[in-house]
Amino acid sequence: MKASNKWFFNLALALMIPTSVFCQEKFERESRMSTSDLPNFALDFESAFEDNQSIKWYLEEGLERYSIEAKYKRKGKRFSVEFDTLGTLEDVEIEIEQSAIPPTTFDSICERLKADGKSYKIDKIQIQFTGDQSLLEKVAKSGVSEPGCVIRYELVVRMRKGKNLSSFEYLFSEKGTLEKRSEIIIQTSSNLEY
Amino acid sequence: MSIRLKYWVVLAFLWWMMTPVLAQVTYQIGTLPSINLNKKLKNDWSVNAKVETRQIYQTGSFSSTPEREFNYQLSDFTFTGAKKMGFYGRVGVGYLIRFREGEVIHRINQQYNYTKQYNGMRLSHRILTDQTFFSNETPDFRLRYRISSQIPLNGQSLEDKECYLKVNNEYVNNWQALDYNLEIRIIPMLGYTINRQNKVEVGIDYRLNSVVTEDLNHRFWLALNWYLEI
Repeated sequence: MKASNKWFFNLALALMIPTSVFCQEKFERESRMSTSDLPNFALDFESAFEDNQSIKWYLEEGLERYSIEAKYKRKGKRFSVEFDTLGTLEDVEIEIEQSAIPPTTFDSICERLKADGKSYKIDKIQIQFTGDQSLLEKVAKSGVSEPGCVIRYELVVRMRKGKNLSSFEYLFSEKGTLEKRSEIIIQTSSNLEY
Repeated sequence: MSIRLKYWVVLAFLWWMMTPVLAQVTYQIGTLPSINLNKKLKNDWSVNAKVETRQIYQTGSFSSTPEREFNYQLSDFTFTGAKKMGFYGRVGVGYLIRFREGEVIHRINQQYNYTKQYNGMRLSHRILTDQTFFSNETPDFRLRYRISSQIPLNGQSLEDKECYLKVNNEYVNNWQALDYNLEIRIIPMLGYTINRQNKVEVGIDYRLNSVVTEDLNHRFWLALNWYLEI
């Protein structure tokens, strides 16, 4: 490839990545699963808790795939554990306060948010753990990170861009680098206001 | 006197005290259908138009035979302009024209809404003041506070083709001339999101009027709402 072509190819690639990573619209449809509908891996996951942890199960429909999500409250924290339909534990998310994010990481996150919008308000922060299945199973019970887990932060942010107010879901790396952003489409609230 | 006997004496005394009060408790039963059109405009502005009618099917007091008669009581047409404020708020002003048994009534309102999504529910607070002008009565001034919650019945966030439960609780303070009155409203509704543009709701709009006076009035409306985003 000629140098000029290579330069053009790299530029095109660089322009394409932000388009695909940062300008998505989030589509998720959750429906509650009854105990009788639960697959065996879900029952196994429940029985692994020795203290009869109460768990709500949801079938989550995304744009390209289905997943199964366990939601529960443990030690005062809200957990969300995602499995694929074959039962592979994909990630564990735990709702946290802003103070639980290391200051340097939070500063990088804030810098990115400031660059994206005129003003913003963080509605929700979750710490996300991915990695080896056995490690994630431990995290799902203890709520504490295990060595070897990959940490990310997922934020739901209300943001004013220009004159528009929208909600976004951000995914940041452990160091505060943006990995993904998608706009959350929320049902209107006129039925609550009028 | 044994404890059991004391209990029956107190109960009989309370019943004797309550009898004249219960005799004055009146009620109305009817329907309250409404259509609500909402249009988003540029720069966080929105406009809302609402048509609501009220029909009464039965009236009476709890101690006498009910009176069953259909009565088309009124039609309301409300127009509201609103603008988003901050991240969760919206301020609006509105005008209502009411046609009630040959009389035309005008009402203006000012409102502030604060609506936020929480885990598994959406909560909205509304503070509203309104001023009503009649042709042959002194104006009526109201200060209202309403809390509304919306809970999806399937999953944690509301999607298309899903049912939800909505509960409103409102306190309506009313001043007319030197009279003060308080009305309490509790409105449980079952809703269905047809798509992003359409929601329908059905439920009971219960209103307890004259809370601070002796003439209690209970009103039960079968409410049918259609919310349309255009």
